[in-house]
Amino acid sequence: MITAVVDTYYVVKAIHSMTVMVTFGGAFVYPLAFAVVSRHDPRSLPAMHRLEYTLERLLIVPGLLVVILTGIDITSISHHWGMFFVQWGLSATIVIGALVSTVMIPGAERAAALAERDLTAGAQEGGAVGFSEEYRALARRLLIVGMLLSALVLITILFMVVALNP
Amino acid sequence: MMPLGSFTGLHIVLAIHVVAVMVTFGAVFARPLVFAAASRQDPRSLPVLHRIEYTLQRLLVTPGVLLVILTGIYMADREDLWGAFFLWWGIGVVALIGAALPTVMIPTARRAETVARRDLRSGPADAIGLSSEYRALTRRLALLSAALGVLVLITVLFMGVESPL
Repeated sequence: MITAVVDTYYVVKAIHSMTVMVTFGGAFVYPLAFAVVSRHDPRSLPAMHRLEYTLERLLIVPGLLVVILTGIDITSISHHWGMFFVQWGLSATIVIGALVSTVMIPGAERAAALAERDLTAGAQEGGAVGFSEEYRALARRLLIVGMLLSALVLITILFMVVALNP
Repeated sequence: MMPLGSFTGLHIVLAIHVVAVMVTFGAVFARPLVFAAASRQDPRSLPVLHRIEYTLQRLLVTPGVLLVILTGIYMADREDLWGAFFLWWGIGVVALIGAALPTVMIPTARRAETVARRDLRSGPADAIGLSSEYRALTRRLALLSAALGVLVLITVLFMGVESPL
C-alpha cells in the first residue's frame, strides 16, 4: 500500500532524479559503443559522432536545464542553500553544461568531419579503412573528457545520496 | 558545516544502487532519439547500432540488473523494508526487465542486425530500402524499450516518494 504523503517536494525530487537518469544515462555507454563500432564497422564512425552530438544537443543540454531548475526548486523548498552538496551539484551541472557546449559538441562535429574525410581518402586509395593521427587524437580527447564528465556525475550522485541520508 | 555527514556502509551501498540503476537503465532513454536520428541521417549505420544495442544489453544491462537486485536486497534487509509496496514493485520491475532481456530484447536486436545487413546488401547502392520484416522487428524493439523505460521511471518515482532512504 502506498502510505507516503505525496507533496510537491517529493514530486519535484522524483522529476529531478528521473531527468538526471534520462539526461546522463546515455553518456555512460559511449566508450562501449565506440569500441563496438571501431571493431565491427569503422565505416560507421562518422555516423556515431553525428549521433553523439545530436544526443548532446537534443537530450543532454535541455536535460541539464531541467536538472538545474528542479534542483533549484527542491533546494528552495527544503532550505538547503547553505549545504555543500547543493553548491557541488550546481557547480558540477554548470561545468558539465560548459564542457558539453564548448568541447564535446564541437569536438564530435570535427571528429565526424575528419572520420568522413579519412574514409573518403581511403576509398580513393583502394578501399582500405584507416584513420589519421589527427582523428585518433581528437577521438581520444573526446573519450577522456566524456569519461571525466561521467565520473563527475557519479561523484555528484554519491554526494547527494550521502548528504540527503544522514 | 560538515560537508557529507556521517559516511556509513549503507551510504556506499545506496550510492552503488543509484549509480547502477542510472548506468544500467539510462541508455534506454537515449534509444528512440538514436534510432530516429540514425534512420534519417545514416541508415547504413543501423546494423552496427543494433549490435551496440545487444552488446550493451549483454555486457552492461544484464550484470547491472543483478547488481541493482543485490544492493536493493541488502538495503531492504538492513532497514527491514520487506513489507513496503515500493520494494516489491521494484523487485517485480527488475525481474521483468531481467526476463525480457535474454528472451526478447537480445534475440530481437540480433535478428534486426542480420535483417538490416541483408536489406542494405540486397538493395541498390544509391537507394536504401529496409524490408517490412526489419520495420516490424524495430517497431517491437522500440515498443518494448519504451515500456521498460516507463516502468523504470515509475519505479524511480515510487522510490523517490516512498523510500525512507
